[in-house]
Amino acid sequence: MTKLTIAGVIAVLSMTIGSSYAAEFTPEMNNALQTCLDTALRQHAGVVTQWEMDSRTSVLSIKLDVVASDDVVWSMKCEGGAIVSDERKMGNKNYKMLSSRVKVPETTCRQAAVEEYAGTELNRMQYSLSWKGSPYFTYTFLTSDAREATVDVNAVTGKIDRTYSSRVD
Amino acid sequence: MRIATVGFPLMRRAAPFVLMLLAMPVLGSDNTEGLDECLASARELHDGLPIRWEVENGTGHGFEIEVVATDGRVWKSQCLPAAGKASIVGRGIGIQDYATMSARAKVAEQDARNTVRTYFPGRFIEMVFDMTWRGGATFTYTVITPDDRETSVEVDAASGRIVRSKSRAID
Repeated sequence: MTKLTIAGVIAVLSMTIGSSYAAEFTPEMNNALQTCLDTALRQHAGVVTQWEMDSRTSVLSIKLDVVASDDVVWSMKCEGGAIVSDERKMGNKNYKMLSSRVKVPETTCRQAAVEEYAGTELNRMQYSLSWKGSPYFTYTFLTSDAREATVDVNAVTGKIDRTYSSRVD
Repeated sequence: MRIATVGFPLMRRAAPFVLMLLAMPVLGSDNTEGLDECLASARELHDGLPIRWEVENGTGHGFEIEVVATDGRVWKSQCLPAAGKASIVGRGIGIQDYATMSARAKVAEQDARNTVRTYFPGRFIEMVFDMTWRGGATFTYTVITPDDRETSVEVDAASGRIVRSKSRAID
């Protein structure tokens, strides 16, 4: 009976530990994300303005928006490196302006953000312009101590300009 | 030749330990070295709760400490880490509620500081103990990160967990 109880406790603990570490942003996830982004850009050449990653499912699922070179905005879903849905969003965005502002590649900015919140879950990226016109990649993380954190990486310098975190529970 | 063949594997084995020893003082030292002695010394002068400390010039050459004494008076003191002895420089205006404040501070300030150090390594500037509008209490730390961002980190004085953090690049 005691052995069974101990085995049960170990099983529950290992499941808990496993699930809490499962969402951590790993180099493998980074590669999978990059594959999806590259595939999406092959389909619609342009600039990725946002992506959202669901790493808690068995297959890594990524939703992303691409502003194509003809200013059309495409919303896509990528699973396992393949685009599974692709639809046009309402309205247009200024591709020329958005693409010309970025001086540091998103991958480099992502690396800087991940280093700031190492070992946490990376959920989202959003590319936007500040009211002054400076381009920013904003990354959203969920930390292991239950905080939602955002990191603003300047797309001109590649440096972190702002961070913010607050508890979610 | 003989020395080289014998010495090299030994050196290779010893290298991690040598590196560890070299890194120890670097990891151990920061600009709050001596702060705990100074806080203890300030509390010896007036027993109470430290509600604020500031690292002068961010260098660790001296600390400014404010303590709410058990009678609610706020005492300001200065302390040099080398001496580890605080000296009173003045009294703050007004009276604070010592009983409420000390009851809310369930986590030791040093533990809260260590939590901040883990998540936001850098140079400490100041700590302020404050009550929230909900009646909770927080230790708010200001830290300058190695990439020159001023970071404000709030630690819940009841649970010791980080509640909020904000950072902004220093222009």
